[in-house]
Amino acid sequence: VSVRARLGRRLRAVRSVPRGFWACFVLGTVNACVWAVLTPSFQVPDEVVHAGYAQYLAESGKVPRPFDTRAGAFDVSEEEAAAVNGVPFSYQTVPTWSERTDRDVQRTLDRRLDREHEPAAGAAANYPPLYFALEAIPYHVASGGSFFDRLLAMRLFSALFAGLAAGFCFLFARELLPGAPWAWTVAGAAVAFQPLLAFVSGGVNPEAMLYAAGAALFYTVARAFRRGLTPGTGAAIGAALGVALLAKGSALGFVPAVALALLLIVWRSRPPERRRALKGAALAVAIAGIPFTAWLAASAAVYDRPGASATAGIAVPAADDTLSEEIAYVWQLYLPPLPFMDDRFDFAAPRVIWFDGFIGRFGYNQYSFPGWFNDVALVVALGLAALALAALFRRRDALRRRWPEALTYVAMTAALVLVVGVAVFRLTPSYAQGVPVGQARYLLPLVAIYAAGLALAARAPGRRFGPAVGAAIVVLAAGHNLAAILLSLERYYT
Amino acid sequence: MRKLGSLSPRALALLAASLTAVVVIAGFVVVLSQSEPRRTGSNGIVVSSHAVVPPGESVCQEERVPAGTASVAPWLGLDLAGGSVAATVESDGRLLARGTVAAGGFPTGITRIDLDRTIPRALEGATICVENRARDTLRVYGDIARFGNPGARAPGFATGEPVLVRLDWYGRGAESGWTLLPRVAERASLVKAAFLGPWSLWVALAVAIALGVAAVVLVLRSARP
Repeated sequence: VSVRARLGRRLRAVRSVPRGFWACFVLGTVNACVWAVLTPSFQVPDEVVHAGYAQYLAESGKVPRPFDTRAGAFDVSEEEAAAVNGVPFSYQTVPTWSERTDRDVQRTLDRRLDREHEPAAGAAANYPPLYFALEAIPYHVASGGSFFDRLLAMRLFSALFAGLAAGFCFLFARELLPGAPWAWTVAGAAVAFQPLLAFVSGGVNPEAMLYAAGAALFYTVARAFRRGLTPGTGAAIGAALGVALLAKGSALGFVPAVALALLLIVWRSRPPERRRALKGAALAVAIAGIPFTAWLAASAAVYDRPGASATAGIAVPAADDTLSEEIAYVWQLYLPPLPFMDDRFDFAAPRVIWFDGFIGRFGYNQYSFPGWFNDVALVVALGLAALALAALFRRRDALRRRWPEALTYVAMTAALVLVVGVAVFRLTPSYAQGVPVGQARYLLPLVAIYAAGLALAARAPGRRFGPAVGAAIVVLAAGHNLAAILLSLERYYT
Repeated sequence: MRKLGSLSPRALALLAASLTAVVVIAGFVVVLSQSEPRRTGSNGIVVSSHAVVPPGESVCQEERVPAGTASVAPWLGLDLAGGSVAATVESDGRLLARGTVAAGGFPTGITRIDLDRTIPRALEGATICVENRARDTLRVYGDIARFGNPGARAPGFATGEPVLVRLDWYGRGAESGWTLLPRVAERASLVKAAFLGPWSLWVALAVAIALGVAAVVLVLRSARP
């Protein structure tokens, strides 16, 4: 009876999740699966070492120690090496494909080759193991197949995170704009069709989990602001932040902003609710902090990992660079240079790295849409931004009332942007500091902000015309996704 | 305008989705219908050094040639005009195709040399030679040969170290995006999970389109009064 009761409770909990969440989850997951099937093996950034990490963990049950963690250094298992060497690769243009090579590689992989090789994790060895431990599940499910079968299984599993990101963006928009249901769907669907997110999530890459956790964090924080900070909500915030921290170190940017959010919520809660809010805040801190702190301690004590590796480069001392140079660099990554700053880039970094990159720069930061496409996208984006700002202006009273919540979103965004900027500066060799090393995918943990912007744009024209704008946005997003798929097909296979 | 005002929010949304879809589809048709010379492949070598080929000499390299190739395109640099540069494709000791391009003082870059015959099937280990028939030294660009690869056979190299020459391949004439799709379908399933085949591209594209339609339906449903 108790098992049945428990099952019933679980079912009720699942049923209480809005259908729109599941619809967006399916859209995001299936779209990332499309990318997983079409993208050539190992062409998602750093997929060779990520797959190597997952393979070692799945085969040995152990977390790999760091050996050679230089970017681009590969020392993979015999089996993965056979697969990697069979995939034609070109940084610059379409590679040469050969059916005979395919047959030879598949035949080689049918043989029993060595699978367990600890240095295979390469530069990814510094990443926390959570994502790779989860990837061990599809790896084992497909263990009867070849390496490519297991790689595809891991990619398809990773696609679930794209679905979660889309679903949580739906829920985030639902919290922000409770009176505009069409805008929630627009938010979730637009994220499901965001091609860069689908491309990365359709590969073996822990950033997929970070994007989903980032979206969940925005949703849970919004829920805490609007419905009160309960132990349950606090646990959800802690879980989202904890997963983000255990996915990639750049999530550290969220920590001060979430701390600010918890403080603001506790401070603004009414005295009878304050005790409950405090309990929720404590739970959030514990659930997010304990696993990550344990990972940091284990990294130092057991695995001899440098602290910098767990902090996305934040802890790397800025050798040879003065603080003013670092500030100027990070500033110019996102904004035009101020009069007293030397130009750090001979191109418009905010446009080229972030905007054009977000519209679509794929592979190993290799190829993007032609200039005319990005220009059209910029015009559309400016139009949508104007609509979103108009919606905010119209709701300025609500915005004023909800200033702590708005401040939190600004802080979450600013802190992540800053952490990514500092990491890009500190991890970029000095000879490469004038070239576009930063990648738009680093900011995708903020995809909920993109979703909220589009939801606001769809809300701006009101109840009558809002759905029409929303439907047009969704068609554009789906078209953008299809265009990015065709661009990738042309780049790799024509 | 008054007619628009009488439409329900859902009808307006359907109209907006339809109009936007027409614009998006028109964009796809225009882009995919553009014809241009298309690469059939490339050895993807980074261009960081070069082989030095004096007049009358050749640089040769073993290469995989993709099916449907009708032009070979090395990265050439030649300062003076006059004469020509020739290319040959040999396999198993047989000359399969040759081509010549007038040496017009190439700026450094990809130079297409049209072959007299199309290579119908992919070749493994074919020998590609580029012969300098001009009056000045020819530079054929590529990257330092590594990992035991002997690199190209050439009279000399810029740094003394052997170079792997960059070679791109093009098909015959100009092709539109539509005509490329069957080739894409063949290639998109290579060196992947064994159960995938050319069918997977068509299924994936159909699913991507169906997802777009499903998302619009969701928005329309959420626009109910």
